[in-house]
Amino acid sequence: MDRTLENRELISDLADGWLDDADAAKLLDQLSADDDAAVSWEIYHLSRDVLRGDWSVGADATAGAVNGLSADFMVRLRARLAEEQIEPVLPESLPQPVMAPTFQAEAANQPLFRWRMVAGLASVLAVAGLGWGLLGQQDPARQGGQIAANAVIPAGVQAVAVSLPGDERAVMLRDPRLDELLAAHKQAAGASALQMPAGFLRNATFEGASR
Amino acid sequence: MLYIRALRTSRQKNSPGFELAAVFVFMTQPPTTLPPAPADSDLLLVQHAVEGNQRAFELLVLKYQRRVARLVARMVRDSDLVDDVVQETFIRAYRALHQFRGEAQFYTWLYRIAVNTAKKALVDLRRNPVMNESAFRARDDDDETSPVSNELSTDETPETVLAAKEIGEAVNSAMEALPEDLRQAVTLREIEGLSYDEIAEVMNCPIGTVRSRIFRAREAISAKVKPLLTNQTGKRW
Repeated sequence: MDRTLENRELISDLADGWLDDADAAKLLDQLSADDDAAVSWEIYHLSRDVLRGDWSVGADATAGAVNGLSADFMVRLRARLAEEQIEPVLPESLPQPVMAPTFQAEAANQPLFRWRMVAGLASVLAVAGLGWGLLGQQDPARQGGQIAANAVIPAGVQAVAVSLPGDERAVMLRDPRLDELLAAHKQAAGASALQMPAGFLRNATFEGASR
Repeated sequence: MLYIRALRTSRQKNSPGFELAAVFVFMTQPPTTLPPAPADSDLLLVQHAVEGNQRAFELLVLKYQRRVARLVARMVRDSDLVDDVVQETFIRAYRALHQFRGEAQFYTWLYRIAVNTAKKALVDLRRNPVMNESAFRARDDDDETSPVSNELSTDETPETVLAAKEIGEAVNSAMEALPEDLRQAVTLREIEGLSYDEIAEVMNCPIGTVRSRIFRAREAISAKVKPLLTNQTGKRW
């Protein structure tokens, strides 16, 4: 559709209050280059006045009332507006344009949100730690065996061959110095969780993959 | 339930093309009071003007310049002063635009500014207004569109009277020449002040059709009136 014709149609809608805010803004932007639309706007309202009988016939037929104001009226008016640098104040009652905030103010629920993040992170860490521990318990022999296989037996440590149930043979490592220490300090050695002396349990281990 | 609403007859008794105004309208909704002159666009334009869009304000000036000029001409004898007073009126209105809350119609608000501006101009010139205070009060309380025909002005000339008559005749003859559906649509809109929704119901057609018919009617009227105006006033922007 012809742009000027489309603008006139929009002007007609605007005259009836049929344009929404966004369409009105677009139309106003285009009007500066479309004198035809402005004339149509003027004539639409003039015609309305005539049809409603509110028209200057007779005594009211002054020059300004009939012909509109002088040809340069708008030019002079625009110059006055620019000259006086009239800056309308945005009223509170009118809808304000949405401005992008330059300062990010802390939201009222910001601390709560922060603690939620901390709690969530702690939960993830706890689950990860628990999972790691469970994985370690699932195959302790393999993990311990790897460590034992790579370990170098220190001097003074005895390697004792023992037999395990199921015809498995394994090498048990014992440190006599630790035995002496535990024998001397049995009371301090304490007991295991099963209420058994903990000395033997602490100073011997198996070597190799049999653990 | 079916409601019947009688349309008003036009104030302009002798104008042709208003046979339609005597028809009865059958509506399925309860009839409401007659709507005022469309002013929604005024508030929209005010909002855009307040936000800094000067073009929006200029549309308001184009819309109301004649009414304000007529009002001022009734008060000010000096025809050279009319332009200045009208301009000062719009300047003041622009300055105070943020105070317009939309509680009254824009022209009612503008009218008071124009009266005060004209009074001040007359005080400055140490002259007396043609209209007295009682006439002002009557006008204030009256419908803004009702003409005050008993007040005389010294500003009219045979040429302006002839021009006014020509414009009125052009509009009315254009109305007569319109197809029936266009004439009915524009009459319901411009004279009765019905909304598009109401017109669509009355004419039993979609709103888009109403919108199109009103626009085409206005275009036809504009084609007749435009030659009478552009020779006299020149460009608007």
